[in-house]
Amino acid sequence: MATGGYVGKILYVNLTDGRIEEIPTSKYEQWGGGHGMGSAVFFDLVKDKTIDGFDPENVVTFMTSPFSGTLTPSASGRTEVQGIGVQSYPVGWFTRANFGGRFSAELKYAGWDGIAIQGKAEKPVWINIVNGEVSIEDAVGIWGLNTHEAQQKIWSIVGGDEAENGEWRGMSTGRDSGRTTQRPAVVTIGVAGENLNRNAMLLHDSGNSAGQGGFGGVLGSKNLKAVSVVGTGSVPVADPAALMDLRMELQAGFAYNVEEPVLEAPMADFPFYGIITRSPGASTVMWKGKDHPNRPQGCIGCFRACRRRWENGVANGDGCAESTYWMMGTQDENMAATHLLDQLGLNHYDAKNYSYLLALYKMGILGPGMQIDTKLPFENYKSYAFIEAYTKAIANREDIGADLAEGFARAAEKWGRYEEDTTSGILALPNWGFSEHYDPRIEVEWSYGSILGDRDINEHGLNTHVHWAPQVQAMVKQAPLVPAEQLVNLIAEATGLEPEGWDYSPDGIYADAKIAAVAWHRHYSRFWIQSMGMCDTAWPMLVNQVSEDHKGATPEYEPRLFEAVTGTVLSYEDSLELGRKIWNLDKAIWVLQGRHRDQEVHTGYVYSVPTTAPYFLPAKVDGVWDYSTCVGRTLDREKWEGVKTRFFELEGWDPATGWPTRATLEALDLSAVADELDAAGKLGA
Amino acid sequence: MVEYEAEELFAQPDAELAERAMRELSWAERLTISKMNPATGTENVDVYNLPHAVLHLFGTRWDRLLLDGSRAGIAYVDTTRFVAWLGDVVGDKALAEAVAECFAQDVSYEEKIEAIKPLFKERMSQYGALMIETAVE
Repeated sequence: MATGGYVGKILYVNLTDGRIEEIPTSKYEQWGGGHGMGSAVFFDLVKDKTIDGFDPENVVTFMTSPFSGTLTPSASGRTEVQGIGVQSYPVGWFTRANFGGRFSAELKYAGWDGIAIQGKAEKPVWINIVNGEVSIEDAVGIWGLNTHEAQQKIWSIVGGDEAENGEWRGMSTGRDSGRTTQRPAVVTIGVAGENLNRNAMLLHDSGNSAGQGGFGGVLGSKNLKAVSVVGTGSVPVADPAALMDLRMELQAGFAYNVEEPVLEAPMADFPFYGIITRSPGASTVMWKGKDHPNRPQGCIGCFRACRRRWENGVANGDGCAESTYWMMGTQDENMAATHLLDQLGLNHYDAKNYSYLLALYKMGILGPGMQIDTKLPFENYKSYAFIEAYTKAIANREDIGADLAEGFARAAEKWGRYEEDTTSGILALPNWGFSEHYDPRIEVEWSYGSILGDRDINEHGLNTHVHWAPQVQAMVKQAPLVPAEQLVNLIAEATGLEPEGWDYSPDGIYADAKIAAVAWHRHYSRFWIQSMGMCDTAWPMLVNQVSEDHKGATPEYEPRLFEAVTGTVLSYEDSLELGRKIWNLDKAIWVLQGRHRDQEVHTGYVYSVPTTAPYFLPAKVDGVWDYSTCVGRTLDREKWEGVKTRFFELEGWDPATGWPTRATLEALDLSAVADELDAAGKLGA
Repeated sequence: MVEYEAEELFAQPDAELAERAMRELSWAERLTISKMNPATGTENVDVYNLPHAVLHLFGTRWDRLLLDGSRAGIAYVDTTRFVAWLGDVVGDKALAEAVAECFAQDVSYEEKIEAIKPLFKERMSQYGALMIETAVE
């Protein structure tokens, strides 16, 4: 039994009948936190797993981890969101999203380890949590507002908005209930979510978003505009001194030293390099600081602070892919376009495919009076006026935005173009309708993990070391900081796998060692990233670019942090086994939804259109490790089928269907899950 | 590294070449550039005119070419295809030859892109002046 990390209860809210109940966290503590708890709560609450994501019986969970609200570095501020999604294609799988900021911490300070929301309100509402007091409030005057306006309105209702930052604020529960310097942490949807957009996101504070899954649309379908929480309590930590020591060790050994930087970018004005140096504010990849004064900003408790806050107040905290949404025009226009996405509550990763629409326009297929009839100003595609009109059209379901609000995959299907355009690759949606992220033909932990799961995995911790660091260094013709052979040996040592697991050669990506590496990636991520809320831009720390021996913090520090916070000893091996258990539970839910191995195939271009740009990854050729350009690569369909068979065998799943077997589930203490699969006739042989 | 005095390299283009080089291109004439960054991976971006290609390759608006620097970071173009596109589609043989000569140097990709910047600065200025002149007439 843990002595720290948890605050004791999970909030259950039913919007249909207004029930507000407590679930003891101890019932789900075996799952660790975050994703594991969310999957288990979902499994128990949703009896029919085949329902649509817009069905009122769908449950959306917001889960914290034992690390949330503590000083655990780069692990305190993430909130895991789960439920049946509406974005993936052709099936809306049970899925996950995640956002940073301070919501998870505030929820813990209020005394809750998570929230499960079910049902549908009769009219628009928002949920107000002030410590242990929870109420469902009328959203009149808030519904219809953009995401920033909605939060400001709720701040003014809950209290504290009139106070200056840094001042103490008393909560309305009485003088002795405590005080805080914080505004309520609010997660909200924008008009895109209200309009049931399948790519609507959740937004918290200025730029913390849960993008994938379409949870904005799911909350919109529940008539739920926002959840607000403010707390004045604290999180028990089993050994605070040990936690502080670990934080200082990690700060000294693995963080950017502002006073005496060890490693600096090879040239000025090259912000990408910051992902290697870990300099604060580095992940705002496209915007140069010189155009607007700014300072680094991070999620609560983070020691990297990868985002930026700008003096002009536009697109604060937008430090990831969304900052690349609109790259034509001026920097102010780039920032304004990203800001618009935030305010409308629209996920960049689908909306960014306007380049596909431009291709159709150029081909004479899309335009006024064309096969795909639109009045959007494609003739002025280089102007901000275009991107503004286009973005608003999707959020408001206007013009072709009505089709695009269903997601690009469904829109292309409606237009009769899905097969042709995903085969040629002009619509690059390799996995479940999600846009291409890292190259599915080469960096296969990403593509295998995505198609064997439910979404684009969006886990950068491994990718930074194996791809991005050598990529940057190769493009500026700098010798790699960590030679390929040393890199794979370091990762092998950290993961406990063979070096060949990190071989991206044409043969290496189909080898047994690679399959083991993919399984490790799923299990590690399911536990440490998604259940413990450790940020994927920091963890796993497989390699340290700034130390002499380049040895990373993984796997030594994760279990030590877990023990310091919870008081429970958990070995690295046992943590991976817990990750495997959670992965199996998720797989069982997908199987109950109808998953079969025949569906786990990428779209056509992945198998037929060779890569053209250099894409550096370690490869072992003729016994020698080096970074390869990996040009001219496709996946082989037959070999992919072989990979699936061997992956299923490794996981203890039926290779004919990909379904978990009773033996595997029972060995993981998941007998009830096996029974439910059996009852549905979907237990692996 | 080869360094050029642009005015020594390019004769003034005529209005016909300027119009052809600066025109909006069709789908079949597009150039594909790979934009690389850590958040999004590598994305293929189709460009449909020369200024648009310049915008991506040098990471800024072409009219602020030397003011803004490399905002867009790594925008990768296959150098052989780019030279062919400049010569055959854009129709600027002189520019294509000069760019090819820069690309032949054994330097990093980033240095190659830096090396061709002055060529584009000069050529785009020539085209711009000609187009203004034509518009005034």
